[in-house]
Amino acid sequence: MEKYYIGLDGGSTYLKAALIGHGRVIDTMVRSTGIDNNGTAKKIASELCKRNNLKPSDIGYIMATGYSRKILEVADDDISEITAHAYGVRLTAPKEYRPGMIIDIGGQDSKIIYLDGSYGVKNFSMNDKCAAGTGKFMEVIAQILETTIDNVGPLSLKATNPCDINSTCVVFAQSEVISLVARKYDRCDILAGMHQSMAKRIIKMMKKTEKGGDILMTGGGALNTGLHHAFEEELMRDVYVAQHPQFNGAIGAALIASERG
Amino acid sequence: MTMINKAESLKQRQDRRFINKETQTAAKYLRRMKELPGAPEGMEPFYRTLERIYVNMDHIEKAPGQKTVGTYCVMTPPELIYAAGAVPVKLCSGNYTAFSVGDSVAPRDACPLVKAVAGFKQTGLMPIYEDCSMMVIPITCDCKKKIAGMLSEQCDVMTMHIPASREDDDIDEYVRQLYQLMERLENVTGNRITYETLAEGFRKVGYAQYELSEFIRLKKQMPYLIRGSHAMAILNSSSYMPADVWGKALHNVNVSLKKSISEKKAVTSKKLPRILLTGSPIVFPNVKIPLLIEEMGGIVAGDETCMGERGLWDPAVITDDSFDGMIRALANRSLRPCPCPTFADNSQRIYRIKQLIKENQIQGVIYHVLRGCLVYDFEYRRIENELGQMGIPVIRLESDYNEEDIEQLRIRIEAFIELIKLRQVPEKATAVRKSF
Amino acid sequence: MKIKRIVITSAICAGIAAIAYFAFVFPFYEPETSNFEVSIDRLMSFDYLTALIPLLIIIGMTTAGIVLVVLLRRILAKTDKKDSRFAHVRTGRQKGAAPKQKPVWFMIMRWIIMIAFTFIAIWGGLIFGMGISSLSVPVLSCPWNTEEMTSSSCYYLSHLNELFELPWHSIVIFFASTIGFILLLGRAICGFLCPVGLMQDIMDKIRRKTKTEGIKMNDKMYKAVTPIKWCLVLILIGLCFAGGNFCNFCPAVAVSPVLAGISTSLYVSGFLMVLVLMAGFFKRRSFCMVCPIGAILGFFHKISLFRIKKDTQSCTECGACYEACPMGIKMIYTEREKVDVTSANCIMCGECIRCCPEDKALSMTCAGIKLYSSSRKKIMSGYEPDKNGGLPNDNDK
Repeated sequence: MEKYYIGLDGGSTYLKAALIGHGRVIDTMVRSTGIDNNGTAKKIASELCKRNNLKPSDIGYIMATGYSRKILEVADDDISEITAHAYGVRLTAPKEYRPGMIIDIGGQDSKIIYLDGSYGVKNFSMNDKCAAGTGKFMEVIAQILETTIDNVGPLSLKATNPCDINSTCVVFAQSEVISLVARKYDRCDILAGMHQSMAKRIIKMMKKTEKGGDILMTGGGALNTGLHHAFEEELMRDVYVAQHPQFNGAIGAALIASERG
Repeated sequence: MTMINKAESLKQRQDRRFINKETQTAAKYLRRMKELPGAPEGMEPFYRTLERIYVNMDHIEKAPGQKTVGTYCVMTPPELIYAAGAVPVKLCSGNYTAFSVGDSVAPRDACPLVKAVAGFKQTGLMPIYEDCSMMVIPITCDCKKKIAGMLSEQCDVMTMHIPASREDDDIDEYVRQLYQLMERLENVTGNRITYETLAEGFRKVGYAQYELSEFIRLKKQMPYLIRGSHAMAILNSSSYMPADVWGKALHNVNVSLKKSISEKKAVTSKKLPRILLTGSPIVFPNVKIPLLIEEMGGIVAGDETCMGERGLWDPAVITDDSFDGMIRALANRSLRPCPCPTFADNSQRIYRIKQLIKENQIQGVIYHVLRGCLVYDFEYRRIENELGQMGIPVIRLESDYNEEDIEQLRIRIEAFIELIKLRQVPEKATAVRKSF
Repeated sequence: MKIKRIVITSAICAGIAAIAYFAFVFPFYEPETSNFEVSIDRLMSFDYLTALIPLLIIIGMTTAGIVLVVLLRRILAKTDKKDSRFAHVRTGRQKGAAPKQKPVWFMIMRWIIMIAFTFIAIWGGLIFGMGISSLSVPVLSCPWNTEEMTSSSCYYLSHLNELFELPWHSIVIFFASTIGFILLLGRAICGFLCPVGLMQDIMDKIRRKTKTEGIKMNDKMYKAVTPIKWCLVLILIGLCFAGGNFCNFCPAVAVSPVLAGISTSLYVSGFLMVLVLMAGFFKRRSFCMVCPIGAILGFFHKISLFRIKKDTQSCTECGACYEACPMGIKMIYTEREKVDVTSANCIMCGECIRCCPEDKALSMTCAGIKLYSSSRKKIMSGYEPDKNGGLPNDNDK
């Protein structure tokens, strides 16, 4: 009988789960982590099964990734986010994507993973000490501009004359945005400026020496069309967006689980 | 007790803090090393030495009245120092506390190893540095050159010029330098170097190398009999023990390793990713990288670092029994087989690494670069290319003498180990799941 | 600079050629009566001692020469400001012994074969008969000694005009046996058979035992010697056509016929033998570097069965092989591509393999069969602790 596999991505705010089987993504689910990581993980796994009419014995292997991966008892094994993301791309990348670079914009960190021709991790760089250029940063700015994170992207695309936001730190950028608001700049222009500055910051992390292949965006940040647009403009080339970008880690973990099971 | 003790001067307070911090760090890393499972029997003398030097901050074990001579790099032949009746101590340092002191003495871009040495010299608290009657510093890089100048203010320093190539003329020139070194050693120790004492020096170091050869042979065995971190502790402590004492202690480890073979014992039954560590020197207590590798589920199966296996590996081969012949053997050994990146053409290092990969069935290479260690950083690109052609993954880990980057290093090392694991045949799950 | 070198080299070569041509005018030793008779009875008689006189003179002169050089060097070292500090350790008699690796069977075999062949080349005919005396082995063992069990190719190589006056079957046998030996053994003949090689090796052993400092040659000096080798090859082959006799010049003539009991005149060859022995004392196998027979053997190094093989990856380029090599073959440690490192100069003495500290990095093969491989264990055997677990001590010796 064909087995199914679950990948759990225990992030800082959300726990994401992906169910795969027959070599494709069957279902995904996201829950707020809460205090009890382990309990949430158990719940999400059984809910996923219920929703897809599966018994626990149908699940061959469960793989955890993300910050809380070590404490998820429900998982058989755990794997680092880097590897999980690199794997997830195999399922989530659009067909025309040639493996090269992955830009992952998560809630509290952003990372760049360099892949070789066969989706193996060649190298990576990450920004895990600073919130600038992460989903959290977008959330903070959205709050100031009295909008929600979902509207940030579409709004910024309406911009006619993006503002300059030069501060690289969240706290300073926040006050910079507040002063722009006070000077009656258009909300759309400020958001577009914010996306530009985020893109610039992440591009700085990229290694000049790692060339070849296409660029793919994953993570929650990839859902932001404005940021995607900013990346394309700054890099002056096409940037692909993964399917289920925010579940990429979980899908990757599930894919690795399918190799183990 | 918020009031400052009047009897304690500012200097004394600073010294006390330095000693506290230094001993705490050293004790922590020693503990982490001891806590790592799978250590063979007979490790105590090595732990004891490291503890004595860094935790108790004590002098090295030697006969009363015997002089100590500080050395740096692998190019200083310890045989000559033994021949002069003194004990060599390798002073290349990996100390975090001394590094933070040295940071204010040396320029920002200087390598941490040199900063740590400068820090120890600045505080004047480390007995192994203060005991030295003389220091021998081969000029292998710019940092070493300047530290030689700084140290010479307080200590008798002899610099050894290291040529950029290893032609016959360079060896001849090095022979001349060794004669000068011998003269300086005789002046410092008051002993004459004779054929007999030199032969004795050869025997001491040769015996250590004899046991080392045996140890490395056992270390190559599959499944693994010893972890790289433990081997690193053994090899590191050779700097602070007389060669014959170290050799005898290593002999006991070899005996226990041989016993494990006959009892079919190994470090672990699991298939751990086998990793080769190469690049800048790794000196106790800066053993965070080997420890992280092994704590994250890899095994340091080989190392190509100058405080590790490379340091004592190459024997001086006496091809001519005369006194001069022995000195030539030392000059030859110091320069020709040395894969130190100080040499302009160092392609032999790639062969050495390839050989280690073959012998130890290495699956991945971690290239350690100390921030500011330019010569090693230069060679990374070439080694990455060469190993890339062989399909061996390589990562470059840049690190400093502090603990702030441990989490960053951990993530990188973990991802690297996973990368290797994914190439292996996965371990299958067996039990059927009943519930979550 | 280059011109200067060429001039000096040509002058030396011309000098050697002149000495070779006029070899018969520099008498070294002339017996009252020449006696070419060789028999076992003679070896037992008092006459044998008189026949040995030239050899004794050579040994005496060599000893005197060596002592003189050592004394001179001591005086120079003591007066030299730079070296005076270690003059006493470098030139005086020394107590103690350097650590030595345990004997290896390959070297023992080499010595046994060398001594055995020298014995055969001098007295073999007397004991085992002359059955194979028409076979020519390309070594420097004097064919004036008519009791050689095998003949030596050097005579007809240096007297080609006489060779072609021989009956055709003799010519065929000469070429067939010479080329056969070359193909079979190559320059292993130099390392395993040659009596002059043995004598030089004995001198080297004496130097090692007395811990006397030798002459360390570097690649420039090795290069400088090469033209002399080619000059000697020309002299060997060409002298007969110019009306000279190579045998009066050849150092080997001063040894094997004399040992066989032949009383005959020695010309410049006697002096040369003194030089060869003295040079062999200070630099191992120094004559082999210029030996014309060896040079001719070297032409065939690409096809001979004996090969030196290298594992290019496990080599650490420590240069111990180069330091040990009596012929100064540098390529053996610098080579990183080819597995076969057999050089035209290689005399298959196995010294590089004995001194190589890496397991199986160097090995000698014969027709693909491994004869001798380098080993870490063997090289470190001198440091092995004794049974009590103490350090190896040579004080009692």
